[in-house]
Amino acid sequence: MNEIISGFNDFIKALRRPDLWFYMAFFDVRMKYRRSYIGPWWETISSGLIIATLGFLWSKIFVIDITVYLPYFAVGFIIWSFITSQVNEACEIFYLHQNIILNIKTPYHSLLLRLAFKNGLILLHSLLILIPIIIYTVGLKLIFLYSLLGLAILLINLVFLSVVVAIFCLRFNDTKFAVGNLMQVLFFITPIVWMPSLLRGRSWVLDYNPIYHWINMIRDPIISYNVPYHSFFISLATILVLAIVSFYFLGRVERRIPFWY
Amino acid sequence: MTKVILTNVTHNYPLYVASNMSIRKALIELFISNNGVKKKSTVNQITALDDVSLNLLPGDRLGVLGDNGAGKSTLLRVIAGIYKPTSGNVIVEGKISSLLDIFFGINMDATGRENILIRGILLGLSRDEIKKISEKIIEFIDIDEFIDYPIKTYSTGMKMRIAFAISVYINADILILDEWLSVGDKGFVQKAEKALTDKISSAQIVVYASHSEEQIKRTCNKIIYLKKGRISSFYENS
Repeated sequence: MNEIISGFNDFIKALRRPDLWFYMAFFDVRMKYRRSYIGPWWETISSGLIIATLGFLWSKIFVIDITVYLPYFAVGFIIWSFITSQVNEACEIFYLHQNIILNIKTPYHSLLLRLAFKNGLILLHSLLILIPIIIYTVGLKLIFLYSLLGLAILLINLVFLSVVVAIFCLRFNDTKFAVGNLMQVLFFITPIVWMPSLLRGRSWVLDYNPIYHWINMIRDPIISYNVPYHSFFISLATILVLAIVSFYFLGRVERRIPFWY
Repeated sequence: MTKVILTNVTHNYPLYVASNMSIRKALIELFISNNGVKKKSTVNQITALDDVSLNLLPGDRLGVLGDNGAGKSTLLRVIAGIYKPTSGNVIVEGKISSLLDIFFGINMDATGRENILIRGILLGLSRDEIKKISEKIIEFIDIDEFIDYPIKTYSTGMKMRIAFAISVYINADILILDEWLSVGDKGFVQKAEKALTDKISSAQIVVYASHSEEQIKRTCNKIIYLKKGRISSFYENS
């Protein structure tokens, strides 16, 4: 219990210093694309290229009409890229900010919030490619606001998840290889490329896969004008679980982290 | 009130090496018990600080001397709140600005101006506060148009100057410096020493670790000598 409280305190301290993560996230994006002429619009271009080529190819393979398949794949793929970059980069984040951790007492959560907002800003650039796709296929609807709400819920989930990933990757070097591997498997077992209807009946692959619900809560309002309350509920529940788990682990190892370098 | 009080602080430094950091070993310890008794592997420990007591009040400038591995950096990190000691009591009141690593918060692709801003944020200042002091910092560093160039174009001496100036000019109550002045060029060292003694930094307490006894005697009023983690001698310098 004490561990959870001290992890929670770390989170609150981080929230109180928005410059540490919100401003620094903008700074990180600016730095990433410094000296690049196209800058963060590379994200728009590269997502657009992947979605266009693979979207057309797979709609043929699965024999699904392109106007149905393209928005489905585009939304799923962009959300997936956000998830996977947050999780994979979390593996290295404590190494990357070693000189902060060893120099001044800084709330650990601020580093993961910073990473999440950085990836969020990059996501915003990729999302632009969705606008023409959606307009030409399903059309813009007010119900899409639920998708924005879903994005916010996903972001909070990812912050807590990446705290746990970051701690384990720093402590056990093997974790980062395992995480990379796991993320690849998850990409294929989560309905991003394929549609759940192809499974013929629900399956544990969907029901017990929180990532499916995270993606579904954002994707479903767009492609079928339907609010998947079930997925929203599960995604809120995963926030609770992940928050408690991350507070516990952080509270437990907080004082040892500086020695793990 | 600003103060730093350490009472009987002992700090054991756990040595994590590949063998005791492996996930296999951790899992084995978690699930396999030997005759009902769980065996926990011990992490080798080094005593970095041994029964250290200190009492610093506003106006104090503490010099920490000692050979390599005597525990200087560990002591500074305990005061900065980065390490929580194994035993003993640490009371530190006041806002801390620490400079233990030259590259702390420095981004090589960012300009000098941007680096002043990001280090200021990391040290806990608001962006308004940073704007207020940044002109003073730029004047102190004295590197002309380089301030708008990326830091990677700077010479080592220029990097030192900017790093030092940011941490010193920030309105902190407690300033912690590790091996700083020994590396800059002569002109800068003089300027920096003057900055420390004139208290143009508003820091009320300064803790400064160095190899150079001479320099510490010039700038500090209290001096400790660390030997294998213990304070082997203490004297006041008037």
